[in-house]
Amino acid sequence: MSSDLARRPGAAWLLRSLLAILRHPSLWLVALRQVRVLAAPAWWRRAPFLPVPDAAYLRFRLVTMYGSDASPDPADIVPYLRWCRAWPHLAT
Amino acid sequence: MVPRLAAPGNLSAAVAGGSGPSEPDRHDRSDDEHHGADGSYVLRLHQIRVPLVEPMRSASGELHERTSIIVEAEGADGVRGWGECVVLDGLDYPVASLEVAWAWLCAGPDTWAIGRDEAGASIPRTAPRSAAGALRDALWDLGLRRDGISLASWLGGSSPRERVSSARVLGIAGDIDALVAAAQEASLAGHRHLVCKIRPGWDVEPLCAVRDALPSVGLAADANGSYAPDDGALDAIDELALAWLEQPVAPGDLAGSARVAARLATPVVLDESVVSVHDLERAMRAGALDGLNVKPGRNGGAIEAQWLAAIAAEAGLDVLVGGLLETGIGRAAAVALAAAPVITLPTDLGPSDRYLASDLTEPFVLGADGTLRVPTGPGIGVTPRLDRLAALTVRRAEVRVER
Repeated sequence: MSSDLARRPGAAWLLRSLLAILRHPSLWLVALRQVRVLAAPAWWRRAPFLPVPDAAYLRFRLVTMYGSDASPDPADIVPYLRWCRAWPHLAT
Repeated sequence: MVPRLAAPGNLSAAVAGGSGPSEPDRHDRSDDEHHGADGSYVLRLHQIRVPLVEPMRSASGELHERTSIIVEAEGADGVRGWGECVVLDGLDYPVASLEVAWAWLCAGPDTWAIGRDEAGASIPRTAPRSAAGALRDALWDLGLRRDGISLASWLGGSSPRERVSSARVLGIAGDIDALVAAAQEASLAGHRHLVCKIRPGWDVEPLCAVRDALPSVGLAADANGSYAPDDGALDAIDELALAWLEQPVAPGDLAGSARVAARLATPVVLDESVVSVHDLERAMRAGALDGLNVKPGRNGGAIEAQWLAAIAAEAGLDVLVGGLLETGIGRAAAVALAAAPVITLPTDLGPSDRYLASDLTEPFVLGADGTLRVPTGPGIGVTPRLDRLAALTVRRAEVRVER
């Protein structure tokens, strides 16, 4: 599924998201947990060999969360992680 | 405790066409041993058509019958989960059309992995949100039923309400005597809160008539975005000290909504304006709302709606759960959300027999105190009657999802 990689958020988006998280130290552990929870199964066996979500699942969740599979505003990651912290059992 | 089929690995496998690795690659084995099935499931789609007890008129249009796509996910162990895809063809409302939602659900995993080159031209590249939400709800329901956990407790933490207060929605009657009669009938039935649909030309006079007839009943209004921000009628409505005024101006006009919210003492609740957390954040920054109406049928399912509700509540907004004339399946999921502590206003979900000539589940019944009982059984807590489902179904399809 070569088009999947192209549909993943780009490096600029990841960097902006990371900066948004870095401003909130109280969310760092939550962010790490979410990386683990959302990482594609056996991510180490397949390119890009990073613990990123499965591209198809990511798009599916973007649709349920936003109504579109376009990359969301990186600033949205902060309220998302706050919600993950408050409701960890829902944050899958 | 993560429901097996609702977890990312499982749904990911489904969305990717069963190509994902096995569940233990993702979760602790102890969790997996807690579950019993292999992750494959059969998805059965039922397009149903249910006549309404009476037409529902609003500023968005008029509805005479209810069409839904019921999503049934049956695991290899025979456990079934249920979701409902809201369809409102004929109304000016932001949910997918019947054929778009049906085509996407029927297309199965190859197309759910949206973005594949082989996706058919007739299938939208982006999934219809209401269909994706119904699929997710069905898989969550399946997982929760398997674990014996109720959706209400899953969404509401340790203290979901046992009953939720129900506000009766009164459509645009066109005749004030008929509206007052409907309001009195609702009050006699037990409702302590009423929401009147309004639009320019049908607002102050009917609201005053209901208020005069039932001064002790909580009264709110829903304009479905039909006013201009500077319309003087909004100031006259403000004089009525309503419990809230829902969606006074067009959904895209956050600046206009902010002007209305600043001018009126009546709390402004936004509905169609907020379809995502991004919209919510923008609306809050603009000062465009005092409250939020979340609808699982429109907001991507019960979990995503809870996300919106929790963020709004954390920001100090009031939140209510709205309905879209769902059958008992979608209604049960929405009532479960309405039971969560983050929900602070009466739901506009009502008893089944008020809206639907026949329901798929045992009906939701209004208590004498104007409340609905929150289902406490596993999952959404209600099970469709298969004979009724068969009788109301006008189209079927089946999709197999293998691990």
